Amino acid sequence: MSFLFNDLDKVSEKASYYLERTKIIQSNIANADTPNYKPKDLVFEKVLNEQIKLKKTDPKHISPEIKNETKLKVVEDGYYSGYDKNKVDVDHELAKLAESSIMYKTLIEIMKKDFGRLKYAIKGR
Amino acid sequence: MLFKGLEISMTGMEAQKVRIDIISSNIANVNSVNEKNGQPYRRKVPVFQSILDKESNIPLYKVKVAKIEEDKSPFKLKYDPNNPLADKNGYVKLPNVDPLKEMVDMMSAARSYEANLTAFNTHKNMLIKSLEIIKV
Repeated sequence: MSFLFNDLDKVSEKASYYLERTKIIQSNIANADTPNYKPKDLVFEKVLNEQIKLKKTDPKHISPEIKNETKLKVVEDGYYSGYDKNKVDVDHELAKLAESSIMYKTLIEIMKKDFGRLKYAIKGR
Repeated sequence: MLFKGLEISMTGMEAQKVRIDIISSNIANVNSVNEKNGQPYRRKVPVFQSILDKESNIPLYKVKVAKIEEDKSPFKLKYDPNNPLADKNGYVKLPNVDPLKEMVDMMSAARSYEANLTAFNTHKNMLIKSLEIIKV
């Protein structure tokens, strides 16, 4: 997209990460009493994208742009092992849930502000 | 896809509800004999199982009650020679239900239900919050 929505792109990407993470946390809480279940978490990590390698046939060709790409990665995380081999700690999961929810709401507010600024610029008042 | 999170918390609440139902039936039958063979009632235990949701691109697990098993622990014996069900030595077999254990289980199930409900509400509020973007 154009430069106009550059920031919004990044913010919405992060917001969707928090929405996906909430789902994973919900799945952990739902399985808090399932034997042998190991809790999962989602990590937002930056990966240097070096996949794009175009062949240069002429020295005047512009070299391809290397972009920072973000990727979601699922990791297993257990903190506490109960007697039934279930590693879900409901308190911890609820804390993560609150964190995700607050971050999501903040990002939505930021997006609203961004759109508001754009609208202001268009209307001129 | 959008409401997957709500669906997963729903399965969690349903499973805990089944668990509460079984606990209620155990407590209700603390002095019962089985209707088929005349033996004492055996305590029932639900077995939870996680199911991978294949439609999602991240590993989400629903939960379900896979089966309801019988507790194989021995029956309680009570000396009561006047009871018609008593054996030669005057002992009556009673169900292997421990009311205290059932109460603890019930508390745990109620708390798990609440945790699932909290997760459900949080996710719902997040989805409603995202609607505010179009109000700008």
